[in-house]
Amino acid sequence: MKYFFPIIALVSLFLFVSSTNDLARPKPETSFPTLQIKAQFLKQLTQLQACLEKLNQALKIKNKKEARSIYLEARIPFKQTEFLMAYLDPQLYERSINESPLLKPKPSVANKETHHPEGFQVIDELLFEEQIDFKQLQVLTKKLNTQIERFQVRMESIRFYDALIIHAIKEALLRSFTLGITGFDTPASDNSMEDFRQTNQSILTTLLSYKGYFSSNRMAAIEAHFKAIEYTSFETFDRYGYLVRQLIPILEILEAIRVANQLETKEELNRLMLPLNSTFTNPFQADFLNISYYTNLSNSSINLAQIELGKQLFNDPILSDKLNTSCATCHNEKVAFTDQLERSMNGDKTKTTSRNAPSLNYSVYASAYFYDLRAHDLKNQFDHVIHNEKEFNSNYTAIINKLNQDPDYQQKFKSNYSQYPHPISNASINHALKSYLMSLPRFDSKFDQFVQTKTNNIPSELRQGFNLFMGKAQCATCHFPPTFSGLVPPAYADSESEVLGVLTNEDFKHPILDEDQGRINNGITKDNFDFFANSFKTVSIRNAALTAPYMHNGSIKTLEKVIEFYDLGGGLGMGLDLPHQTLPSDPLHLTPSEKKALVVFVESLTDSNY
Amino acid sequence: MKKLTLLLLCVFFSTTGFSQIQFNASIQPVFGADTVLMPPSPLKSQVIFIGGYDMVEATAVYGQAAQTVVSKDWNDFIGFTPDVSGQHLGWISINHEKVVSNDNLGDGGGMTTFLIDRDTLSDSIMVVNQTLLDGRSGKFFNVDFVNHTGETGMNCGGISTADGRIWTAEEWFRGDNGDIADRDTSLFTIGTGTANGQTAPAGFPGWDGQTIEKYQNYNYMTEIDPKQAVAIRKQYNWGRQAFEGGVVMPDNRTVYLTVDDTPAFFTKFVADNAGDFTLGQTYIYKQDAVGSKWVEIDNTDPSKMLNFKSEAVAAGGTMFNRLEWIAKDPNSDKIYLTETGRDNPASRWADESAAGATHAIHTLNRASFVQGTHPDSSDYWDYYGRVLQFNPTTDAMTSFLEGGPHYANSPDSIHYPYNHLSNPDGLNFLNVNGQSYLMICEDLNGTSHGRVPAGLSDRTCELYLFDMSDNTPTVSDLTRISIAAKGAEITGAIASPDGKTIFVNSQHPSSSNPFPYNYSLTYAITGWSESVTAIKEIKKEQGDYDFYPNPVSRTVFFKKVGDFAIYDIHGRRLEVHRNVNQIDVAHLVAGTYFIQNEAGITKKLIVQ
Repeated sequence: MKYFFPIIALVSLFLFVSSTNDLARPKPETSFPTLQIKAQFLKQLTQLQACLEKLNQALKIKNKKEARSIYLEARIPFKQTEFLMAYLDPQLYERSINESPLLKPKPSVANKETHHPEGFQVIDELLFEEQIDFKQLQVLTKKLNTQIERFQVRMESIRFYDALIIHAIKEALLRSFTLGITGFDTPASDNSMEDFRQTNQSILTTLLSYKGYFSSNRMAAIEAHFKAIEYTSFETFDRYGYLVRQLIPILEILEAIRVANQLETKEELNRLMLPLNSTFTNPFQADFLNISYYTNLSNSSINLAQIELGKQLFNDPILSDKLNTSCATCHNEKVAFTDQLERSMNGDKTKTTSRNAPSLNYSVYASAYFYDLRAHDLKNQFDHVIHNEKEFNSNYTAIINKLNQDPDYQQKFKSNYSQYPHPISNASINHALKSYLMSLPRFDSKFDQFVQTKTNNIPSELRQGFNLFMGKAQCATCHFPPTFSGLVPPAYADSESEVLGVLTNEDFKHPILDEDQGRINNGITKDNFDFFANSFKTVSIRNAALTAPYMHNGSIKTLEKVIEFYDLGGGLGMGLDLPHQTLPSDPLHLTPSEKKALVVFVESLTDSNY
Repeated sequence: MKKLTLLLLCVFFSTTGFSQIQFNASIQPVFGADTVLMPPSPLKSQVIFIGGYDMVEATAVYGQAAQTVVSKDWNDFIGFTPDVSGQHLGWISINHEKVVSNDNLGDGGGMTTFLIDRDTLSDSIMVVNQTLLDGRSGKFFNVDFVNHTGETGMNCGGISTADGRIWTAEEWFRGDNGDIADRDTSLFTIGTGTANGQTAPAGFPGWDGQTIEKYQNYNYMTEIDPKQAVAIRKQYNWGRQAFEGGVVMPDNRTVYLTVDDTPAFFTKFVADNAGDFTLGQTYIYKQDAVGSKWVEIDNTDPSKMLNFKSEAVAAGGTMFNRLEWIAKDPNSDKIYLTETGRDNPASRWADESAAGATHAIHTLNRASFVQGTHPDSSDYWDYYGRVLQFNPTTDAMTSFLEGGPHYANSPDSIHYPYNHLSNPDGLNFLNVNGQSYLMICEDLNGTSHGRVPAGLSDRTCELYLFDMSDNTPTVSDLTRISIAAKGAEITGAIASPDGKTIFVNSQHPSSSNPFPYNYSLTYAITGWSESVTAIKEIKKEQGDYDFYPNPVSRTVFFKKVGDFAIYDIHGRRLEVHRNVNQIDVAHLVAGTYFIQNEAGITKKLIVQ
């Protein structure tokens, strides 16, 4: 017999049952709010279909003005039903109802096929163009209507329950904070404030169905918070004020309601690991994201000694062939795990890697690693560094042999990984390194602390910077809070890459496109699409004050210049021929003081230990 | 048994269609009342080989001395060779579905073999030390292809005969030498080897001395000797195809072969003499033929064997959409094979269709009656695949079990059906007391259309058992017996001839899984001869239970759909399940739990 492991995931277990029916006790009376909510939801779906039918008629007779006004009318029932649609069928919502208007690989199929986006965002973009493609819009509207019709039929047989409503509302609030009020959702119509109002109105109406069921104090408080939201305009809306004065208090009350009414968490309803801790009350709380989801190591399976061992390995050149390069060579802890070089150099300074060293403090929160997204988990990421001839130029057999000859490592691996048949193996090395990376995120920057303490009175320049970041400057349409990386809310399960048209240097007047093709050449067949040429991972900007130079090639030296790059609309905005650029090429028209405020905000995202 | 039935009968459900059920976050645990225990589970499971982690003994290759190296991974097919001397249980042969070249092991994929015994007291499996004729000594041995038949690659399926002969399928279809550029690409002479001195003396009668391009020496069924861990010969006379599986019939002359390709042609070989597969005739299946359904392709003509697919198209052969494994029911004369499917196969077979190849009847029926289209039309889909039945007496090929059910969009895990069969791949039989059970391994081609619940990006593949005495197979009749680790394909399932143990591989799991589930594993589940009898007994009494234990399932079954909460021993709520009639509890740590239903009735649940 070789190894005996508790085969948890693998094998059926035998199960015994005994009956103790003396535990029977009466259950509370059946409540009606869910019935009411469901009836209302189905009614709104019918309205939505009627609106889309009307839109289709207007498109048929090519009446641009009417089509646009009916479209905006249709957004009302859309926004009313959105929070439940997105929660009950996330795939349908993301793929057919409200997909981002970009070409992408067809998901979940083995073959390489291009997927053309559908749904509201695409319609929004096409309908508000100068020259309208009525035929294409008709096809899209019809498709959308069919999808909603089918969805409604399915919904009729689904039973709603209270916990579902609470979780759907929390997710919707997160969605409007991260995608709605940032303008992500309405690329052309600029309807985001009206959408936001409709979403909130619908959520409030839904919650008010629970009058008499949930505590009246809590219901009154929630209502007051919703009513206090000032829907000014996209340009002037105080996103920071909304975050700390309304959003977080509302989330806190919802969580209190959930606990008081013994409603189950999403974790209790779902056996899979989830990216979000469903009991969250603040998007900036340190455990908002469930770090175990990203590494597949539960916090309880890691101890301090393993983190220490990981740190020791991280800093030890023993991992490289010539004993002169460690992870820390390019990822220096003191400067947020970067090396402040345009492109990193190996230990003996003979070779330069092909890209800039990214910061690691929050790097764990991703679905893929490297600027070209070629590694789909951390072990694979380590493998690339270990085997890369410009980096460690080594292999696991050599590393294991070296570690086995070191009494200190021998003892540490033995005491930490005694349950493995070979304590020093690629499995334990990976575990230790992962454990160390998992220990890095702190979420304790000046800005985090302000939000965590719901401080409304913050420096006005910082407030302006955050509001610009989340609004006019459009930064948050790619750098999503709270990691401010391309990890897309509200699911936080996918990392995005973008085509920005990054140049070889800072000369924006004479733009020369960087030669690096990025994602298209990452070796993954399903990434080998034209629209992934010059596409790079959207990394976190936390600690960016320490990580200059910027971009995948280190071509921009200062934050001010980075902001200028975006203000000009990236490479395309500077006149390069880059049809697949995903960054809008229109200038942002940021004033000098606005640019300064943005820098102040970015600088407020530095962890407290720096 | 009887006592348990009566006790459980005391509990009943009142189902309330639209009611809102609240489960308290904690309850008062009560341990009184009767506890009725049933005998402990007869099932035991053990990991016996970790691909890419355990070390193997390799022969001298490419001028390097024989050495001990880390084995390859991506464990796929498992062959079983019984020890007729009775001294040991037998030899296990594992395929590695890899394509990377490795100077130490000498090939793209390859195989690992080892000898096992059964512990007489516990019935568990032990890997035994061996010393081979070539002097290698240890537990795990790399099969030497390079020095015997030339390199191999992407060893996926294979053939494991009743008397223990093993063939490995080289699925890695190469179109020219550029496809194997990182390897030796000099001309290859069958029976001699390559011009630069690489020897491969294990030739093939009738083909020896024939010189072929190096890439043309891939993609055969290759016989190996699992006892000495060396390759014997490439089966040049079965054609050069992207092979996956095969079955040798009891006459020891007829071989049915499956090919993982779209289009795939179902192939038959009939040997002149029993047990000698070097001489005989090769055929392809033509379902629409009048008279004999088998068209011979001359296997003495190398150009025809090297271009087998073109020959099959020219002969108007019947096309399938990726045929995977094939197995004969030990208790009937029928054979079963998996057609794993390809999402939109039109572009793969429309040209061949135009050139004269034909579509299978079940394909045409699905296209016209279910989808209102034609198999050559780009909107024809085959997301889930199926299990086919072939009757060697009548040469009839029919669909036995269709995968599915079909979803336009994947439902989330809360609304996901309990059984969903997608892309059946590995297939074999478990034979217990004269009763056959079909073992079906999933290998998902994608995650769309309900193949996994929405929001789950990793593929989760499952191993199902189907009782062949059931004459009306549906997906809901399948019993799930094992789930591979996250991201892994489950494959290779083969039962030991005594029906006690199933050997299974968990292939290419997510490397972020906890050890050892981040490696390709070969594991053994022992105790089947006792458990399948137990399943049948419980199923007989199923109607009377509100919920019941099932010895081979990971699952608590309820009589009706409802809401249930699971509490731990301290009465803390752990999980809430809504709108279900079965709950998977395999992830729960062994111990005592409580289940509460929507009527507020709490019952004790012991997970072991």
